[in-house]
Amino acid sequence: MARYIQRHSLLKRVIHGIHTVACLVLIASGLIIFVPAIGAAVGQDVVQFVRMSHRAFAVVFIAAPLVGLIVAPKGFVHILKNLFARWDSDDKKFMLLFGKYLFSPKNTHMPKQHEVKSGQRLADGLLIAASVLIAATGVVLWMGASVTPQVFRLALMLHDVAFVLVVLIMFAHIYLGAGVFQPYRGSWRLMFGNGRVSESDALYHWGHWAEKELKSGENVVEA
Amino acid sequence: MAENAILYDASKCSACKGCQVQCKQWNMMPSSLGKDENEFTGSYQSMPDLNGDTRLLIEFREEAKANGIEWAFSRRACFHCAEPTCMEVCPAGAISKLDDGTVKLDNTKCVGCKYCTAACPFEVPKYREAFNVSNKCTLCDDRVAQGREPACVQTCPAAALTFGPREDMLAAAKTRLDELKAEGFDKAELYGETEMGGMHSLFIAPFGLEAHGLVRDPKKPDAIALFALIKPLTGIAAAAVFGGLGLSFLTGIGYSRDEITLDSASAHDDAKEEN
Ligand code: SF4
Ligand code: SF4
Repeated sequence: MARYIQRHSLLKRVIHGIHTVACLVLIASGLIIFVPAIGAAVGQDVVQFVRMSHRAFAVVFIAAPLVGLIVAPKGFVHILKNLFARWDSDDKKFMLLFGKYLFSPKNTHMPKQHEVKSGQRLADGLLIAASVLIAATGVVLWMGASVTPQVFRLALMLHDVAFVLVVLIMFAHIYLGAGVFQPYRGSWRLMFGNGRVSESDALYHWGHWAEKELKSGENVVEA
Repeated sequence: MAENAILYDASKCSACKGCQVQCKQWNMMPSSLGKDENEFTGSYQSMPDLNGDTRLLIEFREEAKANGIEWAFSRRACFHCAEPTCMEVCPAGAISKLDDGTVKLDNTKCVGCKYCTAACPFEVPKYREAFNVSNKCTLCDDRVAQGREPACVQTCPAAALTFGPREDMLAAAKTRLDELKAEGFDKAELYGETEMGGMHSLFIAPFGLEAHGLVRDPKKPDAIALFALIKPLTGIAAAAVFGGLGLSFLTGIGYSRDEITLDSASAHDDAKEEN
């Protein structure tokens, strides 16, 4: 009988799913505003509709993690703890090897990792920072006429900087997270499936964490 | 088509506000009629700044002189820049440059995002809440197309406003500047000849630019300049990341690994340690 580790709870998966949809819609609608030529080509009615839907999805984008914080504060703290966990030698080695791994996965042996890989901790941290920035500046832009043009233009510029960061990190996140990268094949199930990872994959990706989980057995499911 | 321009000569302006009223009338922009609806400006100026219903404002700036106060009147409206930063950022294609240099904001296309206000070094476009659009002077392109002058020019009783081919306006402005200097206005300056690539609303400032509230050497705001830079960089960065990931995908084709369990992995680790 194969063993699996329950890596992500249903709540986490649902919030992640909602956030993914909101984020993708926001990127697509943001792009129409970001590139004036697209806006001019699609016409005023479409641009207006897109602007309004951008706001609706922005509310979802901001609210989803806040709901997670309220419903499961412990889980939220757990995520933060992982984010700021100390880097050990395996973490550093992982980062040093990551470039080679991306382009030569067949010949690269990656060191064991804790619950969240060091590279992902970096990317997550940056993504969270960019998301907070994009949300805060988005609120300022929404306030529009009630802020001065100086504040508005600064918010606009920072909103764009954050947009670029979010888009670039999302590319990499989707490539790895959805398992387009061959060694990560099947990892989409972690967030969009039942949230379980097989013993073999867990040991491959997060060696230290998997050993601890398999030994404790608390989150181990046999199927 | 030859480029046109308005020439405003503050030394001739009597600040009667006829142009301000006529602009509202021709463009059907309401005025606030209620008591105390306009914030008191401390002078004869109608309101502190342009607003959603006001495209042209005569400002009453005061210059302290030895024998009292001298007025430094100002005509505040869009300058119709040759390099309009407002147009660069508009996401709806609502701002365009006409052949004669007029920078037109088409309110049937505007979505009211206010990016243009943020991008304009003079913060000229103002949000018109009731219609959810931004509003600014259009140089009366509708009248000009019919061979008429802009409404403000037509109404000016002091001939402080003139309109015509930009070259003629520039020549007239320079002659007038010489006259003013000869009369003792040694700080007199012309605004708009080169600013923002050359404006289509020129301004003779007898007391110098600052006294009339004009921005010396106006530039695209830094944040907006950066904003313009970010866009192509984003395209390049996105293409690079996309290409890099594509290459990574190609090099990973054929990848496979053996299934492991905790026991087999530890046995493997132990064997490695023994070696
Ligand atoms: S003054 Fe401002 S609104 Fe007018 S054309 Fe120049 S940048 Fe645009
Ligand atoms: S407010 Fe209107 S004119 Fe100004 S940038 Fe937005 S869509 Fe364009």
